[in-house]
Amino acid sequence: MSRLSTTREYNGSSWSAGGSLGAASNCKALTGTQTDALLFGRGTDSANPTNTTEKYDGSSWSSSANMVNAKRGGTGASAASAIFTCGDSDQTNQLWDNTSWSTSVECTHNLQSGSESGTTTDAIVAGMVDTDAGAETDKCQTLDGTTWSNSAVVTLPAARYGGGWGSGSTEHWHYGGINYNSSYGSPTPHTCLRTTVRWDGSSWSTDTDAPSAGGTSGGLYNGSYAMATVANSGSQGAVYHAGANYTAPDTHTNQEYTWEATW
Amino acid sequence: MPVDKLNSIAITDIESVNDKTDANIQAFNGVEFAGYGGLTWSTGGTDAVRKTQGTTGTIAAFLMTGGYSS
Repeated sequence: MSRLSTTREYNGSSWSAGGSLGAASNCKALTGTQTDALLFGRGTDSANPTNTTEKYDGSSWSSSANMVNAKRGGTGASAASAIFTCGDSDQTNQLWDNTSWSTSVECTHNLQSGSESGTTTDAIVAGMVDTDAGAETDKCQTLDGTTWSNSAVVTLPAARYGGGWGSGSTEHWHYGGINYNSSYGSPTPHTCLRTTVRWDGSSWSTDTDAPSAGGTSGGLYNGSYAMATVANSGSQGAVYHAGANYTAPDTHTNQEYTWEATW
Repeated sequence: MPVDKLNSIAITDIESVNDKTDANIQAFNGVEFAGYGGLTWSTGGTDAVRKTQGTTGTIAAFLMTGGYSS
């Protein structure tokens, strides 16, 4: 398994190459647009996150100011404003103001490998691993201004490596991941969740299933979603590029899907 | 008739009316407001495998970088 430094750009129907990162990364935090983006909260080796950030101008990446602490994760509304929201070893927020990173208030739980969306003042983090407990969780927390609070738990089995998108504490979708509490054994692997659930600011509800990715349950893990406004249509959308599914115990089949969700 | 803007504000930029979000607005001038209708999924182009990547942008101008190749 090797990390990638490549950038891919999608125009609504096909993918093409963009500029290469300064460092190959498994990264979970990219915010902004196709021509003005910020990358942070990433890992560049197998064990540790890095504090380095890079900015993209539509054709090339360049180094930017380092995070206060090295972390993996985060979200943001633009390249000029981003938030790292807990994960890895602590639950301290970090804020990006287009020049430098600073520390902020703490989340209520130290969560990672779930999904998150929002801005520096309005954000949501939905599970799916409570790092302090060392186990999957259905916990959810939202940021209202400068205060984090616990929200209603995600109405899915707790699963690692899911994904999601949204605009923050009043609208968010969560999908997928591996349910390690599901039955396991030949020929049955753990279940990859396929159900999508939506948060409307007060409760979770089941939304339309994503297309089946095959395997045991049709679900996926380790893919990546992003909120994606559908230009000039008046509707909203999201793009998902697939990760992998389970087909048999310890057999993970990588997928090349791109799915678009609109509403 | 379709309404694109209210007081020069694009419909898509309106987040709430009198602090009510769309899911909580039942009607405008007696006309029922449908609210959220659920997701519609469609299939786009395929691309080489990668996992735990970063993504951002719009459906028509989307950006993805890093991740694992296998």
